[in-house]
Amino acid sequence: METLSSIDELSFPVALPQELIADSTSDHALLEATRTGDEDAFAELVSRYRNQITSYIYRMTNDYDGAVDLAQETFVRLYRAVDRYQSTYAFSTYIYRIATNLAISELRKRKRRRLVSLTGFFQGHDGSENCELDPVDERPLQDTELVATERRLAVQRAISTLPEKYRAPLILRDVEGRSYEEISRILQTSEGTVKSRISRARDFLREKMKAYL
Amino acid sequence: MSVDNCKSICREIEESDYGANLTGSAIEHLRGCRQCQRFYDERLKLRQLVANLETVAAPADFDLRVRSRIANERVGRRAEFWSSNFTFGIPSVALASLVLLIGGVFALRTWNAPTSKTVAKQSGAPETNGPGPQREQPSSNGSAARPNPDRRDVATGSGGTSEVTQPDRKPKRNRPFRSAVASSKNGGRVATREFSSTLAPVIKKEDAVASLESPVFPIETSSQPLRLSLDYSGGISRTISVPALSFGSERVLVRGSSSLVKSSPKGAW
Repeated sequence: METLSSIDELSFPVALPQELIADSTSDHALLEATRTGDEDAFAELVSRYRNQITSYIYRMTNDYDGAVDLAQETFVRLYRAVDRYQSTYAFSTYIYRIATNLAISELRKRKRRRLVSLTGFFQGHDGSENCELDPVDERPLQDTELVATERRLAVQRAISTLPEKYRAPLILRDVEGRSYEEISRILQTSEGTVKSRISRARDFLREKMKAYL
Repeated sequence: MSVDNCKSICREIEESDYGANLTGSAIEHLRGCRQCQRFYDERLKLRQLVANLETVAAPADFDLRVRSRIANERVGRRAEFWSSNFTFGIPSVALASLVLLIGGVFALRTWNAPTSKTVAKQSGAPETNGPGPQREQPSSNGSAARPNPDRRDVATGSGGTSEVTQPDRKPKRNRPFRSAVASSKNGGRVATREFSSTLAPVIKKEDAVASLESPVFPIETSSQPLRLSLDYSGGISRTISVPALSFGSERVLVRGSSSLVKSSPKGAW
């Protein structure tokens, strides 16, 4: 048996960097820590999901400032209801549900207010959202980056003209890459409904994006 | 190629994850079916377009703003806690409205009750009433009393003089009084308080006239403002003060069988 001359010779496992510890901590654990008053744990959750939630709400509302505001509201509501959180499902399901509800509420408010927005060009006079996209400018563009940007804008605008019940599942599936099961939990509908809505949304989108296909 | 097979292949294409490979049977089917192949190509392109949308980044101060909002909310909650006892919710407003309604009804009933009660009393027992009903009785020499709008029934109460038909100077504040005047004009009964039941001495007109040699009888308080006191049975009494008249009064007094019209100097009635 080897004898140690001093305590310094004891081999301790190398301490992991703080960032790695934070990353490896599950969302549930962070939320539990938030519940006990750990502000840093909540800050970690915010930094993990802020871009995803902002982006998701932006795709839903097609308004960046509004999306940022709603994303902040999502985190505020999460913080407010942290005691009521049940870790039955994934945390992402929970936070996406809050964000979806906020985004849908905002869309309904806008519909009531009849706000003039960029998407108004694609909306019918009676407020219906099912009208055709403007024809594409056929002239060739020199810069490929411009083409890509223009295409992305067209897709974004086409998505924003979808009825809200089709918009949310399509974004969650094709933009966010969520599974059908998770989408059904977020939207609190059956999986079959989610599948049929996504299929219908793609049909809508195909009609609007014919020029790009 | 059966239609059912095409449907199941399309469903598989639709439900597959983006970028995931299809099953062998589906790939085999696509090679032989043009329609399904076209559907697959369209869907693939569409999903590529949508998936190429970049993630929008949150602003740099996002965390700070979230913290600030949470802090503001905490402050707001504290303020709400302190002001919660003073907020007026729907139940409070409903309760206040109910109390006001009940109070209003009670006040209205209190206001109307004395007049109607007195009228009912007088109409029920006209003989025992004071000055009001006596006007209807024939005079001592048998001639019927002529209804005279200027004639007044005088009753001296405890320290004051009451005249029922005194013109109203403040019509809005003396609704029962006004209604009494209106009813007397219409030939109805006058709603007054019966002073004979009180301890104060009652001087009837006949007695007052009979005790005087002259039909003109002075009232000692004529130089003072004329005060009319109405005492309702509901515990409410009203006093109407009429300033002293600056002109000579003229009264028609029935004495014997002839009516006398006398002009009296200032200070005498």
